[in-house]
Amino acid sequence: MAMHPSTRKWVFALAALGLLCAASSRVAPLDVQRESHKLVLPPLPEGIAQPSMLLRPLLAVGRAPVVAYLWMRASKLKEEKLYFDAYQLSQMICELQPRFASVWSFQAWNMAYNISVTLKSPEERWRWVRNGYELLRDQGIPMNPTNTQLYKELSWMLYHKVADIMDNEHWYYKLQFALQMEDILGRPPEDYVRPGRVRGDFYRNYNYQVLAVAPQNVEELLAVPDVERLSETIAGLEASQAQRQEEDPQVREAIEALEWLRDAGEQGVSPVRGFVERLREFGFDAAEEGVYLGLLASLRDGAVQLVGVEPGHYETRLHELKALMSDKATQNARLAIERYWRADRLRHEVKLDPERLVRLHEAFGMIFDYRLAEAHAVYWTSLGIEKGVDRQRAIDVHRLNTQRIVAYAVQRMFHRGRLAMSRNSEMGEPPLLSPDVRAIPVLFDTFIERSKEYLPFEKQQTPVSTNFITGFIGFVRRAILRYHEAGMQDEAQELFDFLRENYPDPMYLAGLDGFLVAQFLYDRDTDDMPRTLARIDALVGRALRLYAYDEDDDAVRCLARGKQIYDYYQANIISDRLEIPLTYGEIVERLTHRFGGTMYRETYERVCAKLGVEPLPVKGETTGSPGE
Amino acid sequence: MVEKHYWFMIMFGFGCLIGLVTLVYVVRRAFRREAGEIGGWELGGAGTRIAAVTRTTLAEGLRAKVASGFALLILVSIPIFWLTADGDGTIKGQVQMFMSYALGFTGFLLALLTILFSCRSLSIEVASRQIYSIASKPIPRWQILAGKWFGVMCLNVFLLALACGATYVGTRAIVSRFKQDLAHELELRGGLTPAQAANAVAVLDSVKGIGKHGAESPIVYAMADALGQPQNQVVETLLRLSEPTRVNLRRFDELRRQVLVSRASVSPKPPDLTEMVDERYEALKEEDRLPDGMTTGEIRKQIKADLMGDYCTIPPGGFRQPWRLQGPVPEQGSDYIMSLRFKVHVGGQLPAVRLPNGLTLEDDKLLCMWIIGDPTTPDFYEVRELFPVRSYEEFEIPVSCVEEDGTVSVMFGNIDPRRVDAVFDLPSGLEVRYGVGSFESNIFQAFLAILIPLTCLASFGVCASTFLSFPVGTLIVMALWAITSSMGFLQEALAVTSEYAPPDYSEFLFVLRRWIVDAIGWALAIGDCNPVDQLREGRAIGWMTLWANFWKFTLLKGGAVMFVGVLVFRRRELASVIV
Repeated sequence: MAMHPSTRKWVFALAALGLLCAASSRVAPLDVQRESHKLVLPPLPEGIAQPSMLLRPLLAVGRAPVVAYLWMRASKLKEEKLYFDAYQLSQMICELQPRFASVWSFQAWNMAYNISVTLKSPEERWRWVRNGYELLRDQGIPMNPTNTQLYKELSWMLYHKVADIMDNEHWYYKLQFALQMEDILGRPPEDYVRPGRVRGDFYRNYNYQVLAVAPQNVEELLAVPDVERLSETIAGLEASQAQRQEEDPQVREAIEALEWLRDAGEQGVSPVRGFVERLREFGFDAAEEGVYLGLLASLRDGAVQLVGVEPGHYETRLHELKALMSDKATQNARLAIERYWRADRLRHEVKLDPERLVRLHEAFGMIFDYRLAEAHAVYWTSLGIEKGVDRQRAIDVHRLNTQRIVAYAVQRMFHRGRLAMSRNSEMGEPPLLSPDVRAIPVLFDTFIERSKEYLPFEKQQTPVSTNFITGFIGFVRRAILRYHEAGMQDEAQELFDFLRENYPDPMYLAGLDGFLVAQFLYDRDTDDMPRTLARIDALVGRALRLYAYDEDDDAVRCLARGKQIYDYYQANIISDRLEIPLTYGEIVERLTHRFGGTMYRETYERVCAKLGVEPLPVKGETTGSPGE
Repeated sequence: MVEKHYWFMIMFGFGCLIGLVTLVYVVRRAFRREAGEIGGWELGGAGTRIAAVTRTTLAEGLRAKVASGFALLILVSIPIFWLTADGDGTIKGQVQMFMSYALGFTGFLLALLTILFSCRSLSIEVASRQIYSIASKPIPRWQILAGKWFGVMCLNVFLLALACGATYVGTRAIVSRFKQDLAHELELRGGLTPAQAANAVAVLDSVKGIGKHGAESPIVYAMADALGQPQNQVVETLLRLSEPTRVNLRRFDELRRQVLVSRASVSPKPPDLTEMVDERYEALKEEDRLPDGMTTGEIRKQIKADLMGDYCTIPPGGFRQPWRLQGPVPEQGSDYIMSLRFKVHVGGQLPAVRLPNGLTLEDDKLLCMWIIGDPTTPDFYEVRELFPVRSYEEFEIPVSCVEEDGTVSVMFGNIDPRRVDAVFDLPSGLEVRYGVGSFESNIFQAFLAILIPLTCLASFGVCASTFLSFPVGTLIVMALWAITSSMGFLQEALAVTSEYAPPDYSEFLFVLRRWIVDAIGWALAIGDCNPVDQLREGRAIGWMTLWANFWKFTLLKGGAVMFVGVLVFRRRELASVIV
């Protein structure tokens, strides 16, 4: 019997639906089997942007021609120097080949190295350098968390492009990198700077421990604290304190913060919610991203603005807000919110996990200054070494190169890892870098540790392998000088004794003082007036820069050394006509005015005030255009 | 050479003969009076009848929801591009990306729509026998096809006008949003009052003078005049702005003068080397140094290539005799900015070096010296800078260095201490660009230029629908469109680009291959200007180019294809005669 066409259609439709349902029911068991046979890729970590809706289906169908087209378009536009969509093209190419590490590294490298150098202004260059490493850091690595190559590429990019001096605009990159991190970590408190402590020490001793124990999300921040979990964390921290020879004040601060939360939790209240509600009355929702830290910044700059305030009540409300934000009773809640958001920015903006930072610092015995790209390079390198288990090879080149980057980065920290920001940094004045003596023990241990794998195959009985011996001895000699300059005589003596004992040399026979005299011989080899003056000029110039950057202790040391050279020369001249006709003070004053011309007026006046020199008056300003 | 490939030549000749016979047969049959057709080639009342078919075609298209589906896609995609186009993060990149993607995607969708709509226009009617109601009326077949073509194009014009309008509004909206943000930031960070901020932003539209970096930027002077403040105070205000905003300020000026305009360009004319080729050929002949195994033509070609190479190459430390480019007569006193665009090549990788004076010459950047204008007068303009090699670079030149008749004298000095030859790929590798119109005029020209390939595609589609079913016709036209769109890639893949010369290959076969690929390219080409790219770069499309494209692709090729379609349709038996 023939079926009516429309009936037949319905039968077929129902049959199709039935088959679809039947097939769908097999998906879950099939997935289980795929997982059991390791035929699936690891899921993307939470918070990582998934490939776009449009691209996802293409992962299965038609990917090759789209990828080929995008590559061709990217190459063509690059050849024509058209970069208006280069970043988005790169992203699309990578999203279509998400597990292909070489694609990620090529695209990142292309942006950071090839595209950036074709641009002229430092701002534009920096944009592309940043695009390059952010592509790897924010997308490539989260999608390929076990690929060592990507960690190595990222670390190298940060180290070579930002931290090193190979790019003509490296100062600009360093400045912007540091500014971003200062914004995330916050500025030091008003009363932070005091004799013996400079602004940069805030970042060199930053308490990442309190960020590590901060809540992981807003819900947790606003909820009644989980007493049991907090007690466990406190116990863990106290146990680690007990293992130390002396109490760590940072851990103590973290314990106190947790205890405050635990106490509130025991009473069954949220210690933060009340404060957040009160702040909402002023129009600031501290549970919203960016609001609370923005409020802190605007309060600091005096630029806070209230909205929706009735006319005539503005000043009163502003006063009430300031009172709330400086009330002792709300201090713990304010700190908790601030720490939460800073930790959140660290995790999401620069992808640094505070807990891992704490462990890293414990392993290296030093808190890194994350305003330096070197510190980030070390972080990503260590992460790559830990997580890079994707390839089982006899010699994993990427792994080896990744390890090397740690050594390079720490070495650079020793040479120029003490970063001082100008007060005019936001106006574009680059940071000042000087040696960071804190890196000496770290680098020393790195040499010792890395030698251990080679020493069993070597005949001599020294702590460092012959592979590294030249570099190591050179480093230790320089470290002795840096310790001496910093007034850390005990540490200098310890290193000197180590060197004399393990690597004997005639130059150590005269003891530490003799060694230092030999090292600073050129400061005494000053029988020539122009050369002496040039040396003094250099030292005074350095001192002026250090004063300008508020590194006063180092500036005083530079001036003192200049004075020593001056006095030594004046005392050893063989004829009066060789005498320097100016006093040391006059030389300093003259140079202050000369170098002051390259400084902002405020900086110049500040340096003059520190030196007790009268600043020169301001020159008349011109308003004419070049055509006039 | 022919003897070596005699079998191929015989077969090739045989194929040509068959093709010719077929063509003659088809033409003869086509012009025979057919009994089934009413009206033949008559023109009287054609307009009314074509309009009627156009209306029914449009109505049918709208009923079929193909057109409305594509229209919806276009209308949805443009706002999505507006929201998601970030470009390189600058205002210029954002506008360029938005324009490029919005119009590029619209062009792509309209091409698809044209193929689908035109291929189904007639074939569906024939298949569903609706054609009987039209064919039985007193309307010639060519008028039916013309009506179909106009129906398709009416829809295209409407949708493209909508897309261009949306792109224009979107572009202006991006600029307007940038200005609002800038004014806000000038108030918030720069410490200006709302009135001052508004003045400072308003003056951005009238900045004059060539673009420079930092405090020398003409933006600073313009703002200083608008605010009545000294330049250093304006600089300090600008330095307080966020870094992306500062970059955008400069990029906005570039956008205003390089993208949201219509700029034409002139390049140096290639020299006439005939005389020099003759001289050198004769000299070689006299010295009995003509290479063996090469024909006279090949030798002369080689000599010409060598001479052209010399002409385009500037040796280390050398200065090129000025190229003289004939541009338009400048309007004195107006904001008349020209720019020089060039691409310089060097052999191999250029390593980075540090000079004794501390200056670092970066890798793959050449230290160039450009002298624009007559150096014996005070009006000349000199640029001494490092420029990346192998990529297009552009810098602005003041109007003062242009001669009264519009001639621009351009001299290049290869002053790089690394001592490498600098080579220009002339004429495309060097051009002077100057403004000839507004952005509005350029977007209108882009609208017309995008239509031209669509007219051609519509002709192909309508022609295909006269003898093919909808799926087959669509597949074929789409395949042809894909081939013509990727012709550049095909030429590169088959190594037949004009720049490529085979090192060790039978010249005849290579020439034949190139000829065949070129012929296919020519036969399938539906347009030879790229309006989206030109609009994105602020380059004028030009009425001459539009006209040239129109007659070549719409009138000539589209007309020819439509003519073939008419011939086929006239021959087509729409209904079998049942006795």
